[in-house]
Amino acid sequence: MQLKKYLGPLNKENPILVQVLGVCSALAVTAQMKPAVVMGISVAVVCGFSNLILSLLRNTIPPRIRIIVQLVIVAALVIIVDQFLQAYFYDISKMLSVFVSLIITNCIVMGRIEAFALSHKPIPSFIDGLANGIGYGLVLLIVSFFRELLGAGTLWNCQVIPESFYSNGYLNNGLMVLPPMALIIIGVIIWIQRSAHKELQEE
Amino acid sequence: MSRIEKISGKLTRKFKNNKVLSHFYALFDAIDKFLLTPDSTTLRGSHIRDSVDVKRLMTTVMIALTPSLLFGFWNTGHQHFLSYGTQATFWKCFGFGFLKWLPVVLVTYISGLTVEVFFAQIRKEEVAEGFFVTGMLIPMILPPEIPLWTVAAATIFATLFAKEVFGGTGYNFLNPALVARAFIFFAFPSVISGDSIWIADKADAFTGATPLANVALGDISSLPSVKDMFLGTIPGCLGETSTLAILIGAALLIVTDVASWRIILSVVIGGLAAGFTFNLIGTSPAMSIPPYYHLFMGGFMFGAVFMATDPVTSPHTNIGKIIYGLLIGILTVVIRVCNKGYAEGMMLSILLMNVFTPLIDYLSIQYNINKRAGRQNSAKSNNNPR
Amino acid sequence: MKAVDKSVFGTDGTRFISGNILNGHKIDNECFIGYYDQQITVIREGGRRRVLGWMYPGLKLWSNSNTFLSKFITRKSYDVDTTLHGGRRVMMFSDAYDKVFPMDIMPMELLKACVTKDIDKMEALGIYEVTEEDFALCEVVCPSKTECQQIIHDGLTIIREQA
Repeated sequence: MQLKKYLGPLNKENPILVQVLGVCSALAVTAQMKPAVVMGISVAVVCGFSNLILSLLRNTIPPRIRIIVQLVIVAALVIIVDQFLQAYFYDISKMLSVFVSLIITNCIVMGRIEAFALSHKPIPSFIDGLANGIGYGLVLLIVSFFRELLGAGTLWNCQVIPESFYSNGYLNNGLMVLPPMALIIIGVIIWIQRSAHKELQEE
Repeated sequence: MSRIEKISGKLTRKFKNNKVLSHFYALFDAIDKFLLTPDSTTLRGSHIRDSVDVKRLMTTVMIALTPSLLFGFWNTGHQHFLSYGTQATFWKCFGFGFLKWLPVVLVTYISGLTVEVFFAQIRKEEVAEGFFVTGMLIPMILPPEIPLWTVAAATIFATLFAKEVFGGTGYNFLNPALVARAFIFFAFPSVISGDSIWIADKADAFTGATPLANVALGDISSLPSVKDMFLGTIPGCLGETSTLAILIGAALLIVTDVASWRIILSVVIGGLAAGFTFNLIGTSPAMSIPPYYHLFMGGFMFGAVFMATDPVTSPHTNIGKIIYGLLIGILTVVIRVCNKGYAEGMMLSILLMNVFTPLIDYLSIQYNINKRAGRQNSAKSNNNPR
Repeated sequence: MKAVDKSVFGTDGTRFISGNILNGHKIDNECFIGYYDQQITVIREGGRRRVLGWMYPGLKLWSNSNTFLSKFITRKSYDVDTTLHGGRRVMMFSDAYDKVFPMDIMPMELLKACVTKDIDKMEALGIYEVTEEDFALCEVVCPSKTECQQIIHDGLTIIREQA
């Protein structure tokens, strides 16, 4: 089992940067680092386990009701994750509010199921789902790092920019808290990645 | 060849061939072409060319900006001394304003040109002259007490994301000066809105509200007189207070045909029409402002003459320009009246219409294509009489 | 040819053109003129650099735009040479073209369609109605020094190959 193959989604086949899936939730939850990391882990868990279950069932699902079965399984997993977060991490779950339930609409989950899980064995599917989720989480981490640092002066809710900057006239960048800036940051990351890897540049 | 041409030739060869210096060739080339006209001759096609080039057109715009700039320097000092109640001579006001604004202009040019030269070097092209005008426009739409680091951040953001990412000068789809102001407005709202920022170093007991701020309070009666608003002796940004100075610049631009008079006229007509319509509705005090007041308040004339007429972001056809101008004028007055005294009406409506420019161009091109197809069809049917 | 060279212009560079000044081709001073051409044009080579030349009011410089004072003062003749008067830039100013282009075609849009090799758009905008010489005046007045004739030539070549 080649482990190197599964590192693809982390860099060169990253779901947000290269496959351009799942960008909407990336814009909404990355205003601070804590919710972004929790969201990344949730998506990784949902993606991995849904891939695993659907790969186990892949030979028994009739083709006509394929989408419904996928929806039911992903919805069940999302509900479990949502209840878990509400039970043990209530304040973060409040910040994420409706976006955890919207993981079912995240194109990465359904995209990887259709592209990989329905045609591969269970264990590779599980690792692929997990890797895609972690790739998504990495991009969320980078974006939320810049947004929180420049938009609120804090990192992981700890004040990083010292008070002396503020008293000398430094201001928090209010545009960073708004979603358009997240899109621009993702654009800059794609720019840097494509300059470094020439093979990703389309004609 | 004179001596200075020989020196320039020697330095050009050195910068092209030396390994270390070749990384700075774009910067050297920009300075060289600034000081001396280029020596290239025609290679293909027509053997003679017009003497006008893009530098000349940009220089005309800079000259047209100069009256507003000089008046703005004097006005900044005048408002400052007025707030303290002291008398000041003409030169004292001018000197105060000049020293207040010189750092802002320098910061804009240095930060913007760094980005431009960097990208020109990577693309191995000459540095385009579009930034000289943008770098002068950005300070003119900012208030006097703006912190310098916000100016630098906004200029770098605007040059990078509204211009260089799309390919440089001539490929931008939004006006870069307005993107810089929009960046400051959304990122650091406290430095560009409010009442206390429009006068430099103001004394605390003086209220320094601009006319639009008065409208926001619903206080129509305390607007300055029309003469004050026309001459420009009111608080405000550097370039947008004096309608008279802007009109002098507009006259130069129209005579030299660098800016389209159609756009300027249609923006004015659109604004007047919308103001007149609101007078007819007249339900709130903001709606009953006489239409011609809108021309003098805020950045209306400055935006109409210098921002809306940017050749890259305005439509190419005459009909397109008229539609574009009318919509800008109407939208500005609508934003100002319905969102009481919102100072960013002109900026936002120009940015919105910049986004619509490709659509207007597309419609004009489709009209031309359909006309030609109609001609061809009628020619075919004329050639094949039944 | 050599005799003409020295006698008219002295020791400055000279350019001999076979054909007219708008679309002739350059020849040496010991060459023959082209088969289809019926005139020779002789013009001084430009390339002299002036310090801060873009600031001159320009009473003696010829221009079709209104940015030089020469447009407002009528002169009988102007001194033109082969100077490019600027570097190549992006096509920005479409009204300069519209002033000198006689047909009901949008010159800037047609040029852009040729650059992007969009054959459908080229046909719709009227590439069949033009040839390179029609764009010679556009090339002369262009402030961005675009090589319009070459662009149209490439566009027509693509159309020809397509057929």
